[in-house]
Amino acid sequence: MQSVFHIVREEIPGTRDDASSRKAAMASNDTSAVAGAATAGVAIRDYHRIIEPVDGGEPKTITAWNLEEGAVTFNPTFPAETINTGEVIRRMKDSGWQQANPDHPITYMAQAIEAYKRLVRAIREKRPLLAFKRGQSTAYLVLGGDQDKGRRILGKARFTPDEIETICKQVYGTKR
Amino acid sequence: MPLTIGISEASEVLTQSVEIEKTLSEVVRKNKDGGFGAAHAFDPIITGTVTVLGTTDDAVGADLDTALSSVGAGVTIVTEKTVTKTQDNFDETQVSFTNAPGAE
Repeated sequence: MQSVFHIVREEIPGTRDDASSRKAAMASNDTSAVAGAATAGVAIRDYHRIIEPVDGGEPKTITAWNLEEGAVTFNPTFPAETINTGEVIRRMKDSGWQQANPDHPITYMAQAIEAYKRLVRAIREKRPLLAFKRGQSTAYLVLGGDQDKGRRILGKARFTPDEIETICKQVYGTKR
Repeated sequence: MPLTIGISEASEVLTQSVEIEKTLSEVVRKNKDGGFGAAHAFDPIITGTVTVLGTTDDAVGADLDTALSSVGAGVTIVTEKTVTKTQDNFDETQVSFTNAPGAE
């Protein structure tokens, strides 16, 4: 069985902590582009934010959106029209009108804004992964996540007990 | 058209034994006059294998996503996948893949 993943990925340098990493991810052009794709009907399967250490510098952030790979069809079947400002606002706020006019530009605009808001919420709410490399292995640990699971993964990656303690303090905030 | 946005909970993952081979496949593009088109002459293709250890039930879910996110952008096709349950509740998934980083 073949599975197809369409990954939209960006590496953002100089993100020293979770807050600056999250802020950079929200400001990324990828977030806007993915919101546009979602508006066009592309399914967004998942999102990851990974903070990786950089030798001699501040960590970098990798944002990765996993999109459905497929065809997108547009049906621009609306007639030309001129409307006033009030009508634009009314249609932007009227989900019933948008459902009745799915291929009108105002519907696309409203959906793009809704998609962007949902993606930004996902960036804000989903905890990042911190990456720790050892040889050919990389442990991805959830910031503030399950410490027991993290310790087992670090053990499998052959980190020493002292290294595990240091990493756990960084990821989970406490030593055991 | 309704929005389809599915974001999973973050989960711990370990990737091991990442083997990657980068190849350049020559693609000759002709323009309408029969000359060479103004396009990239080579499209890089990455093939590789990776072993993923995770604990999510759906192996083509968050764990594999994370591993493939580390491989690169573009379209990645998983050509072979073998899932093994280990005694310590980790799923070990061995994956072969082909990645076209320019296919965005």
